[in-house]
Amino acid sequence: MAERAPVMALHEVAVEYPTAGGPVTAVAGADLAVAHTGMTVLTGPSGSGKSTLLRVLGLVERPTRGTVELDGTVVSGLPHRALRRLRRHRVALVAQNPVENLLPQLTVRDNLRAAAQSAHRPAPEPSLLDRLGLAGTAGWRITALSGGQQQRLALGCALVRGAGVVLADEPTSQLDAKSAGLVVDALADLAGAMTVVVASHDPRLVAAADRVVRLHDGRLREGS
Amino acid sequence: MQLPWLTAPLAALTSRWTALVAAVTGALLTFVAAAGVLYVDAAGSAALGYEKGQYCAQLVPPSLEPAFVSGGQAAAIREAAHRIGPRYGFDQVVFAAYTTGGELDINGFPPPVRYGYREGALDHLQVVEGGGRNGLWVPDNVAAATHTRIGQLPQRPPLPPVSAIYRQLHNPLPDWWCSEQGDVITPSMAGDGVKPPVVFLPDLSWLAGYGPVLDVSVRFPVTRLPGTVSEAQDLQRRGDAMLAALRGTLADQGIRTTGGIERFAQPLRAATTARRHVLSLVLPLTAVSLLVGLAGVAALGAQYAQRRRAELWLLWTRGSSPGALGGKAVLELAAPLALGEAAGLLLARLTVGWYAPDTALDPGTGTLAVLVAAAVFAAGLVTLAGTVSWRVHRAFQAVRRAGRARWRWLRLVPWELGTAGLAVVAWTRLARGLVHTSGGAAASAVIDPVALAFPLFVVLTVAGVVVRLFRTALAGSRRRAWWWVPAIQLAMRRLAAAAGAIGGIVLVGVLAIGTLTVGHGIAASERAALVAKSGTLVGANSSVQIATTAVQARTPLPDAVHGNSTVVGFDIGPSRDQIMIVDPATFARAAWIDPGQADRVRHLLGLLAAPGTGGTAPAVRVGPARDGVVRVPDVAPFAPVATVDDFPGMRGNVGYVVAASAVAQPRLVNSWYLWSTTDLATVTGALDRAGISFTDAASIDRALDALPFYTVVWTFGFIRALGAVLAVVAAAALLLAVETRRRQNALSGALAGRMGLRPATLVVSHCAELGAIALLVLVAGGGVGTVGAGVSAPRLDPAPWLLPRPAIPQLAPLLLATAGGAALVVGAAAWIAVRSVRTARVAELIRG
Repeated sequence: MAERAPVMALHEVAVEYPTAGGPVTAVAGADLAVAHTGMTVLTGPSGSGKSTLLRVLGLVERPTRGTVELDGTVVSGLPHRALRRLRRHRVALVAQNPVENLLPQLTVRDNLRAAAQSAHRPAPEPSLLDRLGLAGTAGWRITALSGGQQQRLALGCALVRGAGVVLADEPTSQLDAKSAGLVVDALADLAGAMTVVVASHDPRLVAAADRVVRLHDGRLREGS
Repeated sequence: MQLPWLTAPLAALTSRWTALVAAVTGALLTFVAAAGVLYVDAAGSAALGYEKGQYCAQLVPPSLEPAFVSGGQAAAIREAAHRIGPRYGFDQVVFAAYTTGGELDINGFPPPVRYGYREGALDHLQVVEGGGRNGLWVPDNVAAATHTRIGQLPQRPPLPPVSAIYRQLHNPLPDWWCSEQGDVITPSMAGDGVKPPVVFLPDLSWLAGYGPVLDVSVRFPVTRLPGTVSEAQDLQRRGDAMLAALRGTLADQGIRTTGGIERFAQPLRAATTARRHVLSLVLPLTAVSLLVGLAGVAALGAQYAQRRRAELWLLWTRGSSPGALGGKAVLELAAPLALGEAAGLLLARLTVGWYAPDTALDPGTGTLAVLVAAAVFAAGLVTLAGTVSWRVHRAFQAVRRAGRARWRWLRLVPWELGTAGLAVVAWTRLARGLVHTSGGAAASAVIDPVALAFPLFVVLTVAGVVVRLFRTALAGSRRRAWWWVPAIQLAMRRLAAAAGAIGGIVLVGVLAIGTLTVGHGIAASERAALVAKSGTLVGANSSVQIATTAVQARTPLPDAVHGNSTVVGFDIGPSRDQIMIVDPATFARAAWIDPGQADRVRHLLGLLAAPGTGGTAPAVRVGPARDGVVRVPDVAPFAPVATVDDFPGMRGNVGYVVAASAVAQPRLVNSWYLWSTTDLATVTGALDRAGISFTDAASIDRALDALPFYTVVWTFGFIRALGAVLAVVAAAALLLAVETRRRQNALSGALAGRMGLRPATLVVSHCAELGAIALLVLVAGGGVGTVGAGVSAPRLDPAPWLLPRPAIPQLAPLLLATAGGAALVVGAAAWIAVRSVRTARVAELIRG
């Protein structure tokens, strides 16, 4: 069987930020191809460009140079409207701070419904909460959940949106060990059916990864 | 609609502070818009009310006053008026006809009289004797002079016998007679053109035989006088149509009338013009205030975007557009904004009596105010949505580049030069005079609205300059390191970091305090100047010229005026200087004296009351009159014992003031006046009853055409009100800015605390930062307001030909109250800032 083309690919991507002292390079000449399934972990020291690269993959940041391909189509030059449509249907971002992944005014159930609505998808099955380990919390306010529960709910939201690509930025950094373990398990579960790219230096995530890519000073280096 | 948008209205409750600020912003915005509309209309009503007050109520509706009409024609006019008037809504018609001359020949001593007929007149005369309605009604003074008795028959012309003797009408006339002032009142001091007393006839038919010698008047009194300009215009339109029909009918009968008399047309034009002037002046500042209010809404949007940043980011990453997220902000904040706007509208309507010069409003004004408020509400929502959309676009979507520099040149453009140029233009117009006359024969005072705007342009210019200098200073502060005073250094850094927002607050603050001060200063000065000028012109609350014979005979004054009056004489001295003769014992109690000059005047009166030296009477020299002993035929030689620039009641301010005791022959003095603190009606009534002849009656409240003064007062009164609203906006904006910076404050405060900054130093730092803003606003705004009012008030003088010039009142209480309010706001803002540091959670500080 022929190898499937990568779902996302970066070609010579560079990201620079203008500052008073001149441009600062966050990512330089990155080439990366991400497969349809499996978990890719971007790792590296703080400031190495992990989050920036994740934002480029999530189509929320345009590269200064280079191209981004999604399903073989160059999307980095698309207008805002087209990018919004792709973000709506194809990618899901999970931020480091659990609270930032959810709508605080809504209940657990409504957060899942809102996530589905955003991608024009049907309301999720009630059993989803069981699968996320959140049984019995449907009517809870977000603030009543622990950080780990919030992060798993965020992953649930990504799931119900039907996005083929889940991008998570340091998803375990603010969680205790037990909660972090549950999140790692959930991400590994997701990776069985979709693309998961995680920016993290959590060894548990690195251990669970199908592929590890290291960044140093904005440059990529394939790891083991 | 998706859940986040559906639940947005309820989400507003999660931040009651923001909801409250939104409501207050909405309330202020609508209040300004609605109050502007209501104020302009109320100014028109007030102007109309003032003009109406100067008129007899029967003369407000149009009248017909043909002269030299024959008896037959008079009957035809009467019949036509009664027939046509009601067709146009004039149900009451009062017809009158007076002969131009005549005599009452009863006992061989025929005094000149006029015969008259007025519908309903016999019901409005006080009967002294008799009372039959089938004969002549003779005034008591004529009856006494001719020894006329009831039942006597005049020898000629053919007239009925005398059936009643009525009390001659005197001032003050009852309202029913006010339109007949010139016909039924015989001035007690004889002169050219004086009309003799009226003998009333029971029926118009007795005048039928008269040739074209009748003066006819047809009045169309209305039950309720117009309260607003549009009502007055409607009355005028109906009157015009009615008079045209009446004239046409009479012309068909061969009766030529000289046309209708619309005495109130000119006052109506004056009221309309006053309303237009107020509108043209309040419109620019109202527009500026609305822009400031919309800037407040934009700040609210910016605060919303910052507070909901995580949520907006999440929704944006899920594919929502900036416009949709702006719409979410509208859904969330529209309710508090709408509630606030409704409250503002209601407040503007309910408090119109407090801030506007009148409460009478045209019927459509309320609707117009609602429409304007609705438009402002819509503009507010668009501003809110636009701000949030823009912030989302800038924060998440726009490509980062150093492109902001593209617009930086806009900051370098000296926008203040524009307002400065307008101020120069206004100044040149003001130098030519505020009030001009227009309209030819029907001349009326016209205020130059551009000249009137001078103080506003000055305040706007200074506000712009202050903000520019402030921002320049903040930019320069980056090179300053005052770490030996950490509280000040931190305050300086925070100010520099928020230069944009703080610059806006300073702009609004200086505008607020400047307009508040200038509005209050000018409004109060012009109001005081009107009273002072009227007092100077009349001399007292009321003034009548009395017969020199009464002064010569030392006729006792009636009780009603005895204790509140003084007698003042005017004569001509050498070089045609004025000689004012006063009674030092009574002058101060009756004459109008500027409260600030009272002690000085009493001192001068004391000098006049003292015995003279060297055979001369003491005198006060006023202005550049010649010094030395003055000899005048009617007055004893007098010599100045003091020299002053002006003296109460001396209009020309050149001449001498001497005591009445220096006048040996009062009857030789040109004129004598009775000045009184009581009202004119009481004075004239008392003199009439006492038989003291008088003329030239004047009252302080009708001495001058007050409308130009009121126009200035009303205009700056509204500017004062807008200044107060802007001050509230500035205070709210400062509180909002501090709340918006909550996270930065918390982060920097917490870090500074970890580095050893004492809590007290943090408090001092925030107080210094916010206090500096308040101090700058107070000094700049108060300064420009005070100086602007001081420079403008004397030049915004609608009657510069009459002293004293308007001068600004004591502004210290206002400025102190403003400083007190500013201190409270600074305290509250500092508390919010310090509280944000103390209550900051670790989580929100981690990735600040």
